[in-house]
Amino acid sequence: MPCNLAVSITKAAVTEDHLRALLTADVTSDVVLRFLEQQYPHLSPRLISASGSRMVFWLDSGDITLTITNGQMTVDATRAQQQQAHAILAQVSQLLARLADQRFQRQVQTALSARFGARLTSAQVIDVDNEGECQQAAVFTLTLS
Amino acid sequence: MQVRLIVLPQGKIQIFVDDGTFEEAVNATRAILAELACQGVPMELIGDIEQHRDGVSHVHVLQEARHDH
Repeated sequence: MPCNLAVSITKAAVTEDHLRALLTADVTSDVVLRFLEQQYPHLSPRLISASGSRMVFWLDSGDITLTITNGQMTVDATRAQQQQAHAILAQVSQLLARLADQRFQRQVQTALSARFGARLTSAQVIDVDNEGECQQAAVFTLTLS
Repeated sequence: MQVRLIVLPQGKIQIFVDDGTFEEAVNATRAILAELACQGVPMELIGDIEQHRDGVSHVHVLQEARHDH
């Protein structure tokens, strides 16, 4: 339906803390490890520990240590690996942001399904123009009486 | 009444109520936000629930990528 037929428009958001809380180790550690293995196979990435909201990865036998706690990352590296470590940090930050977006979309869909059941009549992934920026979004349609 | 919830990156949503009166649209929007909160998705309003008119910025659909449901 064209937007010019809408009666009302409402904008809302969850907090950053809410988004970060979605990045638990059980859903994040495998995704990050696979990404590191694909991007940095020569550094032999390993998942050292994963529990709750904390994960620790080693690359290059521990010369680079990547720690994710509550969705936030830190990296420690030897002097020789500093540049590489910063590149990894930037890439994994983008990966976590995308993963949080996916998890949030799924959380909204689950909540709507639980509450509205068959009145949730469609769910689609779409591209939108958000103030000049092309973004991927999910659109859920409710048909209410 | 048809309501569309567009879930955007960084935990943002935009809710479009496509028919009914503005008062009905406001009530439906508030009810949906309350239900989301009950289901563990506490959304904070960014500004007011706005009556659609020229000048209200909002997302525009460019392309449907795929159906999930």
